[in-house]
Amino acid sequence: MSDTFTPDAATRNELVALVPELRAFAISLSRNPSTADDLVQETVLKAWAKLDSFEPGTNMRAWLFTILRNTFYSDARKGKREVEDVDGAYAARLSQKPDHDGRLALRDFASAFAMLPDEQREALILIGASGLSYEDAAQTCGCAIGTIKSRVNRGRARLAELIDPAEATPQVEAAPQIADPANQDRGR
Amino acid sequence: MTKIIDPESSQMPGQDPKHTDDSGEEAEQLSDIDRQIAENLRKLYQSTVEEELPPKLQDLLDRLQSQEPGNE
Repeated sequence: MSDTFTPDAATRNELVALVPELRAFAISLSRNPSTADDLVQETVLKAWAKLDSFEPGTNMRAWLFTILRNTFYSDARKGKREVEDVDGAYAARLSQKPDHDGRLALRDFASAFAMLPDEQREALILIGASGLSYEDAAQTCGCAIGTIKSRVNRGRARLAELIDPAEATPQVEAAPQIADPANQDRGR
Repeated sequence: MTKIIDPESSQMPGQDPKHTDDSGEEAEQLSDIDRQIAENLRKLYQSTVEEELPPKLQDLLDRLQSQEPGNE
């Protein structure tokens, strides 16, 4: 049975175990479940082919997310995939059960989330949901840690405005922007 | 009451402090809507993670697991 625990088998098992998370990231990025499944399939095939180059002990989640993200933007540049029915398809996946405490329904949240720019959605998911560190998220997105922080904050502020304009607007004030050469996120 | 959210203090409400290089002290000052955003982000992500994989992905994984990496 020791074969089950060889590094190769462990690495393969780790990859397979992370596929549901890969799919969650793909859906948040593409906003289209069908596109996301194609994206995950392509990512898994690429990762599997390069599995020998994965360094055991490093963050496989970040490694897989990086491959998926690069595939997504590469395909987008080639016009290979179109985003269709942006908030409809994304939010419609979720059941419309109201929360017991009257809090924001998840479906409404998904609709608001789908309206954010790609960079803000991915930053919020990577940091706020998948548990990547800022360092890993920055590496995954190919940008500076400060840029990830900025995207998280802008995404969070925009979500607050979309969810509850009356409450959010007075609570979130734009801080003076200081020119940051590491911030490649201008115009978002 | 007006509250200013520092764009450099990016810890998501509820985020494990070890995942951030900030002090985390400002997390206590976050508004209810910030907490709802953090909570819903996690729910949104987790709801997909817990879904059954579509057959085409499950078939792919089954096929790959039956062979050695690099031979697909």
